[in-house]
Amino acid sequence: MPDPAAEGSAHTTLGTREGRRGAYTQGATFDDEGNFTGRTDVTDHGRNDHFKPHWHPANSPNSVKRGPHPIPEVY
Amino acid sequence: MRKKIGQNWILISIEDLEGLPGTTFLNLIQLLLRVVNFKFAIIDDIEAFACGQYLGHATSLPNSTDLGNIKNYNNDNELVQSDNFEQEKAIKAYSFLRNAQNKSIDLDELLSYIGDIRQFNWGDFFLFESYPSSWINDKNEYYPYIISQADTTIRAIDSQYIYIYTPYQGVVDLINANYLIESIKQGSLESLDYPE
Repeated sequence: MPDPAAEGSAHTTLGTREGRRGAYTQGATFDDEGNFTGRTDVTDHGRNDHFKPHWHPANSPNSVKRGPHPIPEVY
Repeated sequence: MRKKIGQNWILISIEDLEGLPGTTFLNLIQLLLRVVNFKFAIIDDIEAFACGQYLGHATSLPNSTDLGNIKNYNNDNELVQSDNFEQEKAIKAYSFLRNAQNKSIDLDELLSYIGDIRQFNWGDFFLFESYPSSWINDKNEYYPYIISQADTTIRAIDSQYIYIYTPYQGVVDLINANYLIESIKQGSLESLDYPE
């Protein structure tokens, strides 16, 4: 969820995804209106075609685009 | 017919151009039912979007509970109208997945909800021909042991890929005939790939 303390500002909140082989950091980024703009995974998921970290831009509040994307310079 | 860990299993990976909506898994499981009579399922490690709600581990991800202000978008990011019936179905599917994880459920019940999920980012679907009475799923256990208990396992991988672990050649042949395969690997469960 957007961080209430960042209301009115684009920001990223951090969380941890627990796996069977360990945990990694995920980030959720929101624009200055609090809309979800994408997810950052700080891992390559054990796949050679994913870079670490990578970015999944939002399609909508209900989905992200498939495939790893480079971390944007400006969200 | 089930094969245990250390014996020969097959991993098939498929890239889903639709980005893993629930209908992808509904269609896949229904296809597999042509060759194996799966009756039960256990779902786990679900990260999914369903109509404005997010189900997952990471606390940072969006989790709107404002059900009165749900907006739906298609894959071109165009706002689409959905009626209350569709929203209610999505919310029911979300509630079902949230409560059904790591429990034995009838496969028919899973299939009645799964198609209403907007997108799976991650998810494990363990399929069984008979009731999994001795299921053990310690979170510290690695996938080879967990998957060895199921008859076939389907995993949603990072909003993009489907991984299928099966000992059945009939499943492999059916998928080969109906999907564009990214890769097929064969060997012991310990030798296969497990993205997380």
